[in-house]
Amino acid sequence: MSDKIKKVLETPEVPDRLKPENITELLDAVPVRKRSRIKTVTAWCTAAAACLVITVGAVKFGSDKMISEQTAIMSAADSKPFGITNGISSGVKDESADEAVSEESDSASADKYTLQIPETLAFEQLGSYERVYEFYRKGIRSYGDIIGEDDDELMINSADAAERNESTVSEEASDISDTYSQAEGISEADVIKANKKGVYYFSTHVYGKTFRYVPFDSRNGRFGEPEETDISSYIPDAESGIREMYLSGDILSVIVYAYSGEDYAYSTAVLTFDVSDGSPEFAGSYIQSGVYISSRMKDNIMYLVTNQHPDYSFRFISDDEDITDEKYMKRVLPFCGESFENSECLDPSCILVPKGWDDRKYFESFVNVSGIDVTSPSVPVSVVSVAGNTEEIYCSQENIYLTEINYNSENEYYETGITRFSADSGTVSPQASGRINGRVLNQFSMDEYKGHFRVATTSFVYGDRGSGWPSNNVFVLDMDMNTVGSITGIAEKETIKSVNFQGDTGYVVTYERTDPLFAVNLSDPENPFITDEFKINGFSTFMRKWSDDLLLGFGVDADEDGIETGIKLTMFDVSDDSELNAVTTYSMNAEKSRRSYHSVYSDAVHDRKALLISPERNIIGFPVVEAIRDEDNNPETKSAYILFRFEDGQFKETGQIKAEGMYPFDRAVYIDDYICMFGGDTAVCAEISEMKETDRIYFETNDIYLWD
Amino acid sequence: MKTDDFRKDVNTAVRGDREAFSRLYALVYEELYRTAFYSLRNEHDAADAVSETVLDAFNSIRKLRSEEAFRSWIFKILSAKIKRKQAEYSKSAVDINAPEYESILHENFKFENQELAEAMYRIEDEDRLILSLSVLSGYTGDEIAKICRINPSTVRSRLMRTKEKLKRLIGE
Repeated sequence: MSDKIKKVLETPEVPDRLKPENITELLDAVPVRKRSRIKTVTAWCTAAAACLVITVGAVKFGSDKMISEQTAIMSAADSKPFGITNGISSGVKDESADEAVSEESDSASADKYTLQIPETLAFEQLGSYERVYEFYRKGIRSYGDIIGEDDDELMINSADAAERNESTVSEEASDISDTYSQAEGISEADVIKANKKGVYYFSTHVYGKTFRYVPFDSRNGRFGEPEETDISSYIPDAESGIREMYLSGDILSVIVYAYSGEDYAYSTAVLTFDVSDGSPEFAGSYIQSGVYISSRMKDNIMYLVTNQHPDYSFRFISDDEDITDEKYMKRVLPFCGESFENSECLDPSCILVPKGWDDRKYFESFVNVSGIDVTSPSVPVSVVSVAGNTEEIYCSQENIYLTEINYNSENEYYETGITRFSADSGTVSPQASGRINGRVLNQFSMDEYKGHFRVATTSFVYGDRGSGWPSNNVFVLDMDMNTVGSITGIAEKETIKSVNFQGDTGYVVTYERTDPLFAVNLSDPENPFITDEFKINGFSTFMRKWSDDLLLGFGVDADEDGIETGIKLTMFDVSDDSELNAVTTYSMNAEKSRRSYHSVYSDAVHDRKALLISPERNIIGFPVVEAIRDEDNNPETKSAYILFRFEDGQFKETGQIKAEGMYPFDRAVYIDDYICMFGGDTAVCAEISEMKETDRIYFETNDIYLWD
Repeated sequence: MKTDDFRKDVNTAVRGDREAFSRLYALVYEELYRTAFYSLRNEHDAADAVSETVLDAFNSIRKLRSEEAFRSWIFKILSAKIKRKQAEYSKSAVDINAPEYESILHENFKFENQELAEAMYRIEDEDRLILSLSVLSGYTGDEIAKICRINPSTVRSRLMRTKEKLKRLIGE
């Protein structure tokens, strides 16, 4: 396949004018810029820092007072190395922030909202934009900042939150599925959410601008008239697309990618909608620089993680650019606020970078972590921006863990850097960081339990003469992110495919040709040990506790030679961790013959959110796509949603529903006795116990589907 | 080109030497153009994107931090150019079924590749860029992530999905 793609890609001939021998002509045509932009930055910073205006205000963009306000922040930061954050939040919130606030009132709030960083933290704070630029010039990575808000604000917010919680409780009980979350009480985002009024959905097959509210009547299993909401009007002047959403009480929070092409500003917006009447009413917005990485929600607080890459903009900004201009600053500094227009750069005093950055040679990015109260999103409770990258995040009740893959050029190993942030009612603050060998597969590779952080990684082992192979490890870290115990060299030459932590036990699936499930006893954090290993064909890409004695695995089926053949469900018996076993398996395999082609695939293999699992309801559901090419070479693709139950020690198919629309199913939810399945342009409802269809609707959409 | 020669050329190019820059460019120009062509599905825009990239790169090469970074650095510039152009397109919805695309397909691709080429034209903008960086230039997921400024795991899963999709689109 790759070879064929390559052939297509290599087809076009490069026009003559772009051939290397002709390129000098092109270069001659344009004068080389002489002036160094970097000098300009320095000069400006020095000049600004020299000004002493003792007022505190926000760096309010779009205001002609920008420079003096800017200066104010910097001088304030000089006098107090730990973040003053009041200005930023109030600037967004109301007009009065444009006026100078006296120094005293500021220091009072500064006492409250200082970002306290443990001395042991591997990061230090940068006190001014000048130092941020200096940091950039070293070609490094960078970290963040905290924004507080005033007391009144916090109190109003918490009162609001309490009210909403009450109203949620008083609603009539209805058994509605939500996106499976790794930690209890910590919600995770998805493209589908449901409440008793209906379903909010957009397809994973498209980066579209619209989501749908499909009213649903749980008495008869019928859909109402779908309503479409176009988010682009709420983010003017930007290219936007929906990523994921949350539903908390009556608030639907939609996470949106927003790219302002004019100034390379990649950012992430959160749009909130009041859905107390079912149909979404726009309520508020928040925007934060950087590309969306991940998020979690606890009560009404959303923790949003974005990754910002200022290097390109910092290096290639043209010389005629005014560096005190809002656009320039927003290209290279983290910002947040209500909208592009009404947003501000984070206070420089709070920007964190790794200690010893003088020696660094690489220019990396910022990770921006914020806590947002979705009942009043425009002003975040806090924002921290930390130098680095992040891939997978894990969130426990009190902490957010960010992982960063680093290549250690000294020993040529991949390492995972882990930074723990405390997260309390929206206030995020980095606490400790550490490093372990290898790479983390996904969020389920991590877990916090009784004051210890456990993590499974796949690393690489070097043999003689440049040979090498993967190997796997489980590390136990304390809250200071120091490794206290570990098992290394688990299943050499295999890689981790899924992990599941349950209290004192960790279950790890590795794979090369068969799928060994390992049980790791973690009851003594300093001395973890493997209790058993169980082999089975294929591998699970996701595992979930079914009961105290049973662990459900979903993944790929493969034959004895490791050739992947289809989808597989496995019910592991984990009643005795020293005697692992499989109760039963169920495979859906492609039939291959010389004259026809047939394959079976499920999005859920790589996207566990496509799985609908409820041990309480005895439901295991997932979408399946079958591709068939018959003897006359006619291709046909069939999409269905299949529901299983686990009964008498066997997986039993309850039934399946065919998509029949243009697009395959990608998600389903259950609402009381019904399952609602969605696929791009189709919604189908069926009664759960027999998968008997009760309603089917098709939407019209202007979004461009990937499946067209 | 030997590593030493390469470094020498980078160092010379950093000081504004056009010949040295051209030699470096010769190492990547085909990939640059083809990535642009495939991402933008249009030879004129692809040529524009590449020449703009060349100018930007030459004008700013003195800021290049390490010799090794040359390749991914110039692709980063290209990817920003491509994204800008793609953003312009999406404002004026591009119709893949329009006659001009049919002629691009017919003119540029041999019959046996047309089905795949058409399928590849139909995947989403960013996925096309990721696919071409991966297959054409052999970048890893992490490198593509840095070039396109997206999450590495997203790159990997999207690449996987794109390939699955292509397989299904051409029924393989």
